[in-house]
Amino acid sequence: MTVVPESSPWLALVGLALVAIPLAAILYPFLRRRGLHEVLAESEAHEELDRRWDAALAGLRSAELERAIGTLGDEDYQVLRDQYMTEAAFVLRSLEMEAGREAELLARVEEEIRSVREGFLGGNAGSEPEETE
Amino acid sequence: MIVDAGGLALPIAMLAAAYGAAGSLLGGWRRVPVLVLSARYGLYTVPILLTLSTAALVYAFVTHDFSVRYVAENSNLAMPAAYTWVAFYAGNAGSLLFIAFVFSIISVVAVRGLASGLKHTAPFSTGLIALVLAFFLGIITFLANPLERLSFTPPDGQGINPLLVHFGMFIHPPMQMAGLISVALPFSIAMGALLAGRGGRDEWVDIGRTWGMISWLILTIGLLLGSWWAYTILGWGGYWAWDPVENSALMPWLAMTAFVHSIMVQKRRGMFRMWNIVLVAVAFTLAEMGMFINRGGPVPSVHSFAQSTMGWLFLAFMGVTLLGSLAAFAWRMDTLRSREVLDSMLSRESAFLAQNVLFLVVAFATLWGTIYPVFTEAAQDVVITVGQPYFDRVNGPLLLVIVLLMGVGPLLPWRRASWRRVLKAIRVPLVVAAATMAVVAVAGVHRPVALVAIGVVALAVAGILHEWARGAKSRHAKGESYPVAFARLLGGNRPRYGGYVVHLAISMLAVGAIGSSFYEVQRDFVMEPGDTETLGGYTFEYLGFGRSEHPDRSEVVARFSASSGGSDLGPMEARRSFYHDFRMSSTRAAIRSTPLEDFYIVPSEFGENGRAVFRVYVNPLVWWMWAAGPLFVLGTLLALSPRRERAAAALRIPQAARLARA
Repeated sequence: MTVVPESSPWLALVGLALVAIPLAAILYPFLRRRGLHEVLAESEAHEELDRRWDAALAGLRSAELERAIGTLGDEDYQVLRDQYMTEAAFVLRSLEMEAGREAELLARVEEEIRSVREGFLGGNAGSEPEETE
Repeated sequence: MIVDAGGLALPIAMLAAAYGAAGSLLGGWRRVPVLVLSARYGLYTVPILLTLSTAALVYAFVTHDFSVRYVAENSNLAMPAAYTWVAFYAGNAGSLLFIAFVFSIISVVAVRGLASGLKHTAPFSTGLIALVLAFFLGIITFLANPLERLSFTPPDGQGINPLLVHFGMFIHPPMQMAGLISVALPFSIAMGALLAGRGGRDEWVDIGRTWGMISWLILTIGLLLGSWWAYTILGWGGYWAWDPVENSALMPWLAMTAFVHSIMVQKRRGMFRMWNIVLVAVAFTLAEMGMFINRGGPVPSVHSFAQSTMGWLFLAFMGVTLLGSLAAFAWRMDTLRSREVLDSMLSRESAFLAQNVLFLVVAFATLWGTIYPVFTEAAQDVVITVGQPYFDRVNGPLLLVIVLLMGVGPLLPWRRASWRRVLKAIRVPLVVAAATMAVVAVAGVHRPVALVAIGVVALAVAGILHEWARGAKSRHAKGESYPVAFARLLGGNRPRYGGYVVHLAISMLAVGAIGSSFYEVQRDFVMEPGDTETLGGYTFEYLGFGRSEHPDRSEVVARFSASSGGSDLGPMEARRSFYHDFRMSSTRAAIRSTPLEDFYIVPSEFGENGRAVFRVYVNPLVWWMWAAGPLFVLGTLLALSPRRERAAAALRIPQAARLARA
């Protein structure tokens, strides 16, 4: 058998204070509408492209690493590299990149990948290989 | 007053969580930002309110307020103050409050991350998280209130369950409960993305992976500590008995292990989108089943710590989760099409897929063995339980293949590989495995299954060490010292090498399981004080025993001196306690543990004149299982550690390009 706690004015006050905590939090956005643009704002049009770009670069880094440790032969590496570079080029084209600019950015990707390779093989502390899984 | 205030906070927290669920889901659905924000803020207040309820219960324990039913049922005046922590979750109501409190805190952390990163998905994920929280708080408020008062104040309480009076109980149950409930986070994140129609965009993958790995780590620690507790206190010489409660924790762990691997394929290749949704839904359903079995489920267990009839509510919740997930999956299936296909069966993603399927097969084989008594009772009106042989025979070989894939999979590149290259990559590990098998065979290991198992583990370990050695050697050749080269190698590829560290920990677990499963030595001895016996190279003398009376128990402590190979192992004590109020005995084994083997003495019964029966074990390689624990933590933290901003920013080309265009 249980007993209901004895009601007391203090307990009633505590109860009201406790109700006030979530109530204030819940009502706050209705009373102050500033900053709501952050909620449900339209997603950036390029978010998906960013992810595909990241995935392509991670794939390139991973292929470099696999090649460096010997699990990937030159032929397989070349196939993978072509696939990832095609993916990266697709992203850049989807961004409606000018042809000259796209070539320049792809060249920068190549350069980064080269530095990743050198970083893995050592001697270049400033360009260690990035995380690849 | 404090206790009553804590009691008042519970229904208010339930209403705040319910509002958080309804407001988030409705606001997300109808695209009403102000409602979404209001619901989220409401959810943020739940941990504040539950902090008050939790503090109130702790206060009631510390002040021995036995007018609180839960305190009277789970503590007494004799209980050391340190066990207040254990008593808090020793019963059903307290454990539910603990789950709700922990979940409310990690939910707020997760929801904040979601709100800042996934604006479209967040309302749905937040709504689902709040819904789970509201369910628990509803049960606590209406059916299992730990702050409920009695109509009278008893002079003393019943005391704490004696099986819980153990160091392992300070961490194992909290980890287990937190692990099971934390599976709700990756589940909610994934299902939220699905409900928002964005399951195919892969934007939820990073945060889903992070919370999946956190959940997996908590479950892992809980399982390991539970095994250690069983090993030292249950007194049967083993650490895993395929008991329903153990299985209920293992099954979601298996599904989550599959998930944290296959989510990487989605991250890297945009594949396995449907599979990952299914996996995380299965994992959460199995976690709910774990809570159901723990709370008065239908299958008998030696250590369901909180029996009650409310388990059926958890079963209903599990059914709703399963049906709801299926409905959402069917509704949004067209958004989950992968943009890629498997390029080759000889690739890392194929190995992940095979390993995923095997994990699920083991999980469902375990589920079948666990609930088999329910079916036999329904069909034949007799309860038939399947024992350890079923699980060993079915799961043993499957787990061995999983370890093999764990060894070979990381040696395969993404997308495709050629046989010639794969054979070249595994040549050294294969040689090491063969050499290891030869060495252990010469050392006396002749059982074919044990030999194969040792070879598989050696292959996995050698593959990892070989890659590390080659990487460190390459860097060393350019001028770095070996420690620096190794540290930079690991730091440069944290997800990959963190995973390798975890794989090493799994290998250590496998070593312990192989040694103790195949080469355990066990014998019963009837001894009188002064008797000396030998077992497996150990000589031990029974010196005598002492009885002592404590407020809550009668205790008998047997003392031994032991030696091995001429070296003294020092004094050993094994004890057996009888708790009067609970009419329950508990044992504490005397254990001398080395990396090679454990010498383990457990008292069975004591007779007149000091005569006693002891069960003595020599358990090979068990030490490695407990040593694996820190490696699990280290590896997971390494895999989860954030990218270096400098390097991550280096290739943010599309953004830079967009800015340039603008």
